[in-house]
Amino acid sequence: MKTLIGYTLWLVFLGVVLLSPFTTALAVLPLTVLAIGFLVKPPGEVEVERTFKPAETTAGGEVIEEIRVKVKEGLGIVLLRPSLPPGLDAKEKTFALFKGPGEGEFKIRRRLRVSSPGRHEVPGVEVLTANPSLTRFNWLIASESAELIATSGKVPRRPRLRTRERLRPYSIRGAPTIEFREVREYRPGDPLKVINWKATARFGRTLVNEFEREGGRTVIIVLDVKALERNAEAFEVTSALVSYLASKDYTLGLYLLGLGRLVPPMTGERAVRAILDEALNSWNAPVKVVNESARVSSALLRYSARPIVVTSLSEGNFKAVGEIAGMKGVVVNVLPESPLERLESLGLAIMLSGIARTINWGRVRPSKAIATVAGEVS
Amino acid sequence: MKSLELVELGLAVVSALLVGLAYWSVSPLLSAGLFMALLGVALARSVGTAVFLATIAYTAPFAMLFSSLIPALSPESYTLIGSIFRNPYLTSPLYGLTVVSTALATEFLEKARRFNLPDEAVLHTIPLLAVGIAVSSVMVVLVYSENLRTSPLLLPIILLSLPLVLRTSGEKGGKTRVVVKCDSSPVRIELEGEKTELWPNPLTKLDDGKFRVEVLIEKRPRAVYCGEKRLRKMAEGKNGEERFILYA
Repeated sequence: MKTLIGYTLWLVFLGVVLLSPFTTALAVLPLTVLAIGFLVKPPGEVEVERTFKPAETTAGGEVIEEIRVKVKEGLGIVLLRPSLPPGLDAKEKTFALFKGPGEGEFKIRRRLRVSSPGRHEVPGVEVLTANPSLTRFNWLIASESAELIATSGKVPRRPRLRTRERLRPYSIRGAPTIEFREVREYRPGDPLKVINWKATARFGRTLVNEFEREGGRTVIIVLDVKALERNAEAFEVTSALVSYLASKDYTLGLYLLGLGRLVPPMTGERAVRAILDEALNSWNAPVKVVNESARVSSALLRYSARPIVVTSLSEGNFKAVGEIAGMKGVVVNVLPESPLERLESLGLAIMLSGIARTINWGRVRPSKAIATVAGEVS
Repeated sequence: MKSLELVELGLAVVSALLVGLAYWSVSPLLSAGLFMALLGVALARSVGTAVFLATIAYTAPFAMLFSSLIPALSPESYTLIGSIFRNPYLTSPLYGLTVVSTALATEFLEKARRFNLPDEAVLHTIPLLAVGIAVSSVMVVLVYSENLRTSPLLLPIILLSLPLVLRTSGEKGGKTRVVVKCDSSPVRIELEGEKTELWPNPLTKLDDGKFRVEVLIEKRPRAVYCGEKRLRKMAEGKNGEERFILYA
């Protein structure tokens, strides 16, 4: 289009400068092509439907994706970009079609490789349309997101991640105040001066005095990646909690249950960014680590932190969540969509409430739920 | 080299050759120089620029011939123009039309290559391009005829304003879906008098490593940020009543 306008301006300029009406009249030529181009509407009213055959597969396998495209109006080229989430891959990334006069219907098939297990939400298809002279364009997202489930099976094992077990100084966050908190067992790294000799002599094991520390409370959000199965709502809960608690000067950390990853506690905007970055980047990572209660307990003790467990309660994770939440924790139970699973989850939440405060996300207003959680860990 | 690029280069060679032949009667040295220079531009810079320059070089003698200013300033220039127009490569309408068609086709092919269009899609568009060239040639003849000669300046403006009016009259209100492609930073959308901050949803991570954040709003946003970086509007379109704007 720029070149056509360039020709027009050149001819008009030359005609005016050289007093030549014929030269000016020649500008009609590029302008007519431009005008014809503008008159033809690019394809619009696009409907795209994505289906997978089979709709459920195993990781490492392949599925056939069928894309049905319906274009109701316009004339010209239709470029489709059916994007894929991480964990799915295909050779063909874009498709170009030509829509003639009248309604157009197209069917495209491609082979997808599924490399990681989980519920893969396939986003809507980006569509770029252009009229035949490539002078008018239309960009849109044409379909709702679709879902493909991949069960684990053929995925190569990920190397197990080890939490750092090196000795840490006893004060990880703010300096200790003179406000007494509790007597607890000696842990490697505790200085000798905090040993409570009288209590040690009385009970026959080394006990130390713990004092409240400066700064806000420390909270580790334990995100149960395995149970949540890439539940987007759980991520929203986490981001809302993190933003709220960071604004109240809490020291925040994150433990990804099922992946064994830990973001050490920190404060402010840095904490928000680090936690949400880690949660986002590891969302689709294959879940492998089992029986992590001991690891989480160790992290909670090391940082003198209280846990907020974001999970979706089921029989499978009830025991582990109970063990973690028992350490003065709070459980945020993101209820599943299926009515039966929801009922089961609610029942388990009632059972768990004897050990730790349990909040069922979705049953109360989000702002109230967050305020309750914050109140519990303060 | 892809087939489209080869066709483009072929078009550049044709237009450079025709320009070279058109100036042969003035000086064979100038003619060869023009041909080589245009070919050099096509290979070193871009085919589009070379064809654009070739078209301008081809139309320049016509501007001089029909000019009222040049004979008044320098009557001797008639001798030069006379020698140029003895050349059949300039006087024959066939070659003139070939140069113009080459220019239009190159412009089109450059765009097709930019959008990675497959060869079949390009082939489908050729009829419309041919219609465009034919209609525009008829228009030039009409303009040059006695009846319309007095209004050549108005006609192009009328021609372009008609589709523009038709296009803008078809605009209707409706909701706007803002689509933002961003890394894992929060997305800030500034509307009139309010700001919205969104965190990318992990389910919207795409194969290019970016996240696609979508939000439906009533009015167009004033500015969109990914973290601290202000994003540019990359594309816009409509599907039914809904308007889409892509920021990346």
